Amino acid sequence: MSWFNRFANTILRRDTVGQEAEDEMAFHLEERTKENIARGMTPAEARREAQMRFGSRSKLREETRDADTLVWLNTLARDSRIAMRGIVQRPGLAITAILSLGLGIGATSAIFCVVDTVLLKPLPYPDADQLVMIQETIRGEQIGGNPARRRDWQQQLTAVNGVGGLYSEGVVLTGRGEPRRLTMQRSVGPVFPILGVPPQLGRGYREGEERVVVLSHKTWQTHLGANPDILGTSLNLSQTPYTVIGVMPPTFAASTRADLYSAAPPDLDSPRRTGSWLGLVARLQPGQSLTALNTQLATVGARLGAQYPDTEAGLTARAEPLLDATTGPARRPLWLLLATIGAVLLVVCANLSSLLLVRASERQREFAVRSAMGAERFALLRLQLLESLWLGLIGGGLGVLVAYWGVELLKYLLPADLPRVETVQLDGRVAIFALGLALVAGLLCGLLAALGGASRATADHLRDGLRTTRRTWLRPAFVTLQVVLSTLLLAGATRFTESLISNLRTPLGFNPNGVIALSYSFPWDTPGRKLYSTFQQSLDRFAAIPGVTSVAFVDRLPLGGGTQSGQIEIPGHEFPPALRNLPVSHRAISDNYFATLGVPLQSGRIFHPPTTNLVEAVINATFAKLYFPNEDPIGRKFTFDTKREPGKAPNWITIVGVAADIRQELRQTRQPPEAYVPFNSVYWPQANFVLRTNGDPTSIMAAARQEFLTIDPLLPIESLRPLTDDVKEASSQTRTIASLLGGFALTALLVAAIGLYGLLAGEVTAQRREIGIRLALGAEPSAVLSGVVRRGLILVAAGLALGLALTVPALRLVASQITDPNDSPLNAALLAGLIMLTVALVASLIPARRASRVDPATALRHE
Amino acid sequence: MRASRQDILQGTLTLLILQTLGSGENHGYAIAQTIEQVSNELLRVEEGSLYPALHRMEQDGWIESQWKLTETNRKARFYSLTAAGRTRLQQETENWERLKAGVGLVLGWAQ
Repeated sequence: MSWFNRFANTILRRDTVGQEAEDEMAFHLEERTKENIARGMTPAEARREAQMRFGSRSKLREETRDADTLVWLNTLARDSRIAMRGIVQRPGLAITAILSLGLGIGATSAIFCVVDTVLLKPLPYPDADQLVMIQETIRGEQIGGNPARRRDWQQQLTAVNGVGGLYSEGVVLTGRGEPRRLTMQRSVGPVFPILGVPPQLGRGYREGEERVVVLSHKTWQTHLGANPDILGTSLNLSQTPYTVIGVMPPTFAASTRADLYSAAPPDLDSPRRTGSWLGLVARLQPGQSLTALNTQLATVGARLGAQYPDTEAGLTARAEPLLDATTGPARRPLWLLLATIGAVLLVVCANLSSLLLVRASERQREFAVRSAMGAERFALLRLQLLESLWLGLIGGGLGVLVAYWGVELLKYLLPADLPRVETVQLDGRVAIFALGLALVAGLLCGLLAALGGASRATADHLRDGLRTTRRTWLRPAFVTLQVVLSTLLLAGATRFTESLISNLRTPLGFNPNGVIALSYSFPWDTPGRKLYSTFQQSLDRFAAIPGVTSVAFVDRLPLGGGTQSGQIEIPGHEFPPALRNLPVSHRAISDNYFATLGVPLQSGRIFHPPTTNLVEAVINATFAKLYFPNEDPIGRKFTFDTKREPGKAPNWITIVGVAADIRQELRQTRQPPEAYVPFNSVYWPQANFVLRTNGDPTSIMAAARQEFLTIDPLLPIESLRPLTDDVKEASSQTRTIASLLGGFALTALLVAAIGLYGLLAGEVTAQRREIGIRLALGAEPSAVLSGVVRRGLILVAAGLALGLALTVPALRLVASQITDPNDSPLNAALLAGLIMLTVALVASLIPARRASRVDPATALRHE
Repeated sequence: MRASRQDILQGTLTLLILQTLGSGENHGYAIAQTIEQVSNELLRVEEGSLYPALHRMEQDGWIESQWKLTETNRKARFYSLTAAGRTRLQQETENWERLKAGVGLVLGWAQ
């Protein structure tokens, strides 16, 4: 109880306790005085005697207070007050320290949150680290899994407990309100037993069980009203009735992103070995390692390759943890961001140390006084640490706030297809981590500063005043480190911005402004006739909407990437292997496509009216340049039919026109050759329409939606948006990374500039007297100015040299992933160097000017 | 100052305070006076040690305090023994008796 009492006295009742002790002593003195008077002393004498007996009242007060309270807590509170006073006395330093620490810690924590959730948290399956994904390759080219081959793997691999194959397809849910497009994950083999997650409601399906479906939690909640009686009811999916037998728990969808789960149709699980479209998952047997599995995969793969040379010659396969496989493409950019922000944090810490070091050297005199008055060295150290601890604490608090908002901002900025990104949130662990990080950073910086500066508080300082011109190596080292890291960040940011700008500057080859895109798709078993009539009907109806000037069909829109492609053959031409093996893309379009997108036709004509036979094609300029370098391609023939049976005549396609190139991907390093064929000459159930408009896009989009309802009320529109959205989306990842890196780099640059400025300003202040003497002896102010600037630039040059030396390999490391690896990173490095030098020059000029204007008379009187 | 007056031996102040309060509650000044009078002014209580000792003892739970009016209508802090304080008084008395006997034996032996 005593401890608690004292604690309460310290915290809650300190004033009362002090006042009571005071009253008690006053009473004692009065009584003693009265008694002395009664003994015959004069009042003055009586009072003096009483006081003399009493001794030092303040000492007594302290001793009684020590008895009533917790001494260490009191000391802490007192020192904290002194520390706080110290912080408040230098608001500039405090604000810089707190802001930079808060920003650094906050941003690091926010990005750590994302990395943790996306890359590190285990997948929501039991023993998720035992789950693997198997990737097959044939002669070095990655391929998907095949059902018959899956069976072979399952039978011959003993390191795993079964192999499951997965693929998804789009289905349309009808009969439950508006038709909806959902993603159904189909499986071959024991996928559910492998993943090991039981449904939340009902049961999972058996292998090959037909016409039953398990719902994702989200589908059940959003589309089916979370009704628990859903089990046993029927859902109409792409015109086929399915019985609902289960609902998965909410966590399950985290890595599958499917709305529905069902077994693949049994006829698909056939012995046919052609066709590869499955993703293969497996679970390691207890006690088996990934290495053992990979060894088995190599053996079995070679065996299968020998057994089925037609389809599987050169087959190899590798397993990797499922977590790595699902987060694969996100891995490097995220680690890159984390590394970058870590570098920013380092700069911040270096700067904080540097600031505290200035503070410590400014206070050398104060500490000398304190230690002359009897303060212990430990007490002085404690005082300094408390100051940096408080800075750390406040900065950390700010950091938690920044992290909270930062996570929200990142969720908005990061691509939505990043796995699990929607579940990212700032959790308590990370908040505590942030606070802890801030405290540790504060303490470490404070300790460094204290050991580097203040401990030398000796009597010399009292005697000599503030004439310490000794330079420590610590602060310049910090500044150099900051310059190194800032240079790296700047170069990175410049590199990404450069690549973004070059991506955006390169002509798209089409004009997206004023164009609306509308997409829908039919199931893959829809008869071609039905497709073509619906497409034609859509073209006619959309063209009739007021404000629409032109409409066209295309199977895949530009910038969306991934066309179908194949090798071609041209009669009478022999091409070198590089050209012979080059895949030529083909796109299915309606005749208005080029006109609608504003793509000029360079020669020839467009197939018109479109025929149902694949006999005519328009090629792009690259096609013409590559395959007909010195001749007119119009009227020439080619074929995609390169794998025909010997002796059979190919399906020759006549080139009727050449259109300008259209970019098929934003980050396109090479324009592929392309052939455009009439939409009704090939089978493709996924439709995109482009509508060029000259009216209000919103009302035209509404009208198009309305029109489409009358064409097929059971088919959902997948998306309806301005085509410019596609351009934005295509550049979003580069844009995100460029802007994040840019932000980080600017922060680091600013912090480094403050660091450099602080260093030089501190030195100028310390050398005021010396500078004054030099000026008094006739030194030119310009010489003083250039002296300070030179010192700043030497530090920066050292950091810059190291930074630039590191830039080239660092950029090589990251650039291959996101930008064109062929570009030299030299431009970025040079620009970064230039920016760094300019900023450094400005940061040194301010203190240098101050130095050159030192008035000798005042400087010498100063102390 | 008379030379015959003894400053109180370190550690015995607690015992003296407890003993004094054993006969009823009192304020700090009166405690000091009582000790001096009862000891025929042989013992002298330093104010510098009295109040810290009182506060420490209160925190240790041997005595408790209350602000009350004195006979002369002045506000003063009155201390009184707690149950724990009574036990303590007994222990301290025994300790003192033992110490006195021990010191006596040593002195007797030395003579």
